[in-house]
Amino acid sequence: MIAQQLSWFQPALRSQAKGKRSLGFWDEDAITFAVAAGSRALRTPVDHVVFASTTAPFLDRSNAGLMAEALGLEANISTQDVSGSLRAGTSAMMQLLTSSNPVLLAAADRRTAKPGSSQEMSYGDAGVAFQMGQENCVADYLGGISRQHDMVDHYRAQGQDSDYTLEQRWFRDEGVLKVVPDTITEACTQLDLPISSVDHLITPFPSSFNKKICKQLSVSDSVLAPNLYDVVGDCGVAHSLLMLAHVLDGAEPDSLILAVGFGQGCDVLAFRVNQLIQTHRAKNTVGHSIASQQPLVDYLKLPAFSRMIELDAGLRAEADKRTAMAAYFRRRRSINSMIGSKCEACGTPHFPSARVCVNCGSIDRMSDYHFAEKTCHVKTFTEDFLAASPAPPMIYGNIEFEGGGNAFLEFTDSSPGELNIGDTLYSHFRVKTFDPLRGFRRYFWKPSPVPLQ
Amino acid sequence: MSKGISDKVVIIGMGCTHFGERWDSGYDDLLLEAYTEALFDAGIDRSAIDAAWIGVFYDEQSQGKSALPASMTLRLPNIPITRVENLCATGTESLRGAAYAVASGAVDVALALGVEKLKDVGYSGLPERTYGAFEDLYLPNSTAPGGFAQLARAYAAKHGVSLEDLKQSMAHVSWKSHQNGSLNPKAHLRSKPTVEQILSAPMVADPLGVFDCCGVSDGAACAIVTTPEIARSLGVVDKGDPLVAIKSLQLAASNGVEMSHNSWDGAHTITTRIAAKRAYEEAGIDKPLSELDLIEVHDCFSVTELVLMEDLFLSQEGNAWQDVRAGRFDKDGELPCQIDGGLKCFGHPIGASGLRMIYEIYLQLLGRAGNRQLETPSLGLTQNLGGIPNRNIAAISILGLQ
Repeated sequence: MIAQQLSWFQPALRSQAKGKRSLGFWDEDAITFAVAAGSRALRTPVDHVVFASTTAPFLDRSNAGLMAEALGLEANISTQDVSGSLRAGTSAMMQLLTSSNPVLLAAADRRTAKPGSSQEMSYGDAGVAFQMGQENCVADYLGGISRQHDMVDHYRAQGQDSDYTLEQRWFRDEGVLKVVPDTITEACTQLDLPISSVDHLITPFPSSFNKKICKQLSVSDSVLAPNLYDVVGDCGVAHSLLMLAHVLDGAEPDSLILAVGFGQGCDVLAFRVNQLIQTHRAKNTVGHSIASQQPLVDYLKLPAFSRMIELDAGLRAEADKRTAMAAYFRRRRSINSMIGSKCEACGTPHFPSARVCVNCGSIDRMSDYHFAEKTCHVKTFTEDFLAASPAPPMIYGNIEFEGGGNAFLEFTDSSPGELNIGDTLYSHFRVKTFDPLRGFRRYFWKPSPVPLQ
Repeated sequence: MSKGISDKVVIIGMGCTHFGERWDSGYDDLLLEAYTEALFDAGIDRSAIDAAWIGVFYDEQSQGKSALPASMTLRLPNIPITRVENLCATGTESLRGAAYAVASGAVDVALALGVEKLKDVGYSGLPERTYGAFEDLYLPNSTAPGGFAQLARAYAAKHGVSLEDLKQSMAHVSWKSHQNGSLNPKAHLRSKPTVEQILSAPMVADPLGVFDCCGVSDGAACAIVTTPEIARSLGVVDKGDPLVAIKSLQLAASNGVEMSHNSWDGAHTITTRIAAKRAYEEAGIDKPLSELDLIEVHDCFSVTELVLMEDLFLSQEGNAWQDVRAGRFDKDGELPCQIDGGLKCFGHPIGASGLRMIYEIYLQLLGRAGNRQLETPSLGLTQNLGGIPNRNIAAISILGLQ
């Protein structure tokens, strides 16, 4: 569809016009992907949260900190942002795997590419998260190595919103094929793992690259894990780890996994799947996420949702959205974590948190109440074509949470004509508004028909 | 309950501008137009006015904050003047301030002004506004039609009415008001769309189409109030002629139940029911449907008017969609509603609307409504709804001959 829409401009795109790519909705970014993946990965409390991305919404504001708050994690944990190359995710994982404490790693990218570029077709948007630690692990880390090579096959400098990409054959022949097989071989030697014993080889490249890697290693290309390029595109920093999650969704106990991360260097990590995989598989598989994607009908939504073109949203969109930071900071548990309050006198839950009970009038007899994980139902709603929205109509309405509590909220992920009164919705952490004047973006929770698990 | 202000305050003069896209007029021109009409109507000297209230909502758009611009425009003689704002109930709030001042005995004659200059800023629909520093962080950036459209689906679901049936009834609401408004020289929109045109209009906020929504207009309205005794001593009416008295002025504001508690069904306005009960009690009305002769309600959207018929106890709960379509509130029906064309035809210059409604009741009670005059009405009601159904202010006035 993309190639067809752009055939007048770039007929050569037809040669790569096969398969699909993933695209975030207008209100998704690397942080919201990380929160969505993180909430599914998190099973027990962690004391460290790492966010890996090359498209972090903030260069100077802890993206990991916001992610941790959205996940409802308290302030007594440490957080870290990692970036700088497409292997930031695998490098972070390698370091975190040596830690004895429970940690959460999310890798996410919302990759922007110029309209009409080859990357616009090949890139994808995704987030993936892993909880790591010493207990209840489904795979044991055997070790790994990391090597740097400053090869500028592509780059994105400060202030640029898309990559500058060099010739792919040069990248393949002088970069991938000269570095990856050697690093894999070196890792296998160091870890005393014969390359022939590898069951799943994760290489985040196009299939033609991956086959050549196997050939150089003298292993059958049946060892290659699905690269998912045809179903989600190349998801940047998330890609190797997305493939790893996909392998773990189906891996058998005792199988050996080698995961490669690449970006101005190469990481190789070795895992042995253990028996717990049979009882502790992810509930939300990569396959399930792929299957739940909605088809894109209008090409223009691709550059518009990626904010590479600006559609005229009219006078209403001009309204100033300056954020009152002090108010946001004071009430951020309601905004970031969707924590409301519950009246200890009568049990009525409130969102946002309130000090005076709406039901019994008690003052300051409230305790925390977490709404983010509560299922809600549509009380009433509208599809508003007048309201300024990057994806009109803006759908919003009154919802009722199971267990009590009501709210008037903007919905997401619904198309006109889909919703009905009484429908079950689930809260997702999303971008609420962009402030183009100041480069800020607000986040909040939106009910969506997409289940959390 | 206190005895209220019933019959303690009378309206001795009113003015109302032509409502519309008044490109040639600023808020000051509009104010002056309504004010001079009211002064002439009352037949008093402006030096007799002791205090004034000015209702304006969008201070960012036209006259700025405070009441000073009105005082300076009208060259009021350094009397106390207060700006009031309570969303779409602003016009009625202005009158409430003036009437309470007179009823308390603090002043003899008071002026209530309301104005809104919407068309200087170029919006279709009402301009963007904020809910406040914190509320903007979580509330949807909704529009007025989107807020009121919420009523429609909840009403249909609660009462087992199909959306198609509800749309038909809503179309009748709009059709009726346009029929009425076509006769009114001060109305903004005087065309007479057919029910078919109304039903096939483009969607604004589902299920509200363009003709389910009121217009966007500029306008101002004004009332001069005093006590019955002072009115007669000023000689503003001939001996024995009736005065238009305020029988009731009531307000009810949301306390958050609608937005926060499961008890609200989304299909009615809690505040209107509370304000209506208080107003009927203050005015001594037992059977509003038979005792009232005409009503002007907040038909910002067709579905609002429909639901309000139940909230004002003029239709049984769940029956308004049928009563409306049967013509109960048509010009020749049991209780004419929006005989002047309503917000539907006047548009909604927010600060002015409440006083514009009262202006029509005033004219009708005095037999001065021209070719839309009803036969000898003696009791009328106005209702404003400020905000949206899940957080709002309901304001009700009842006016009668004394």
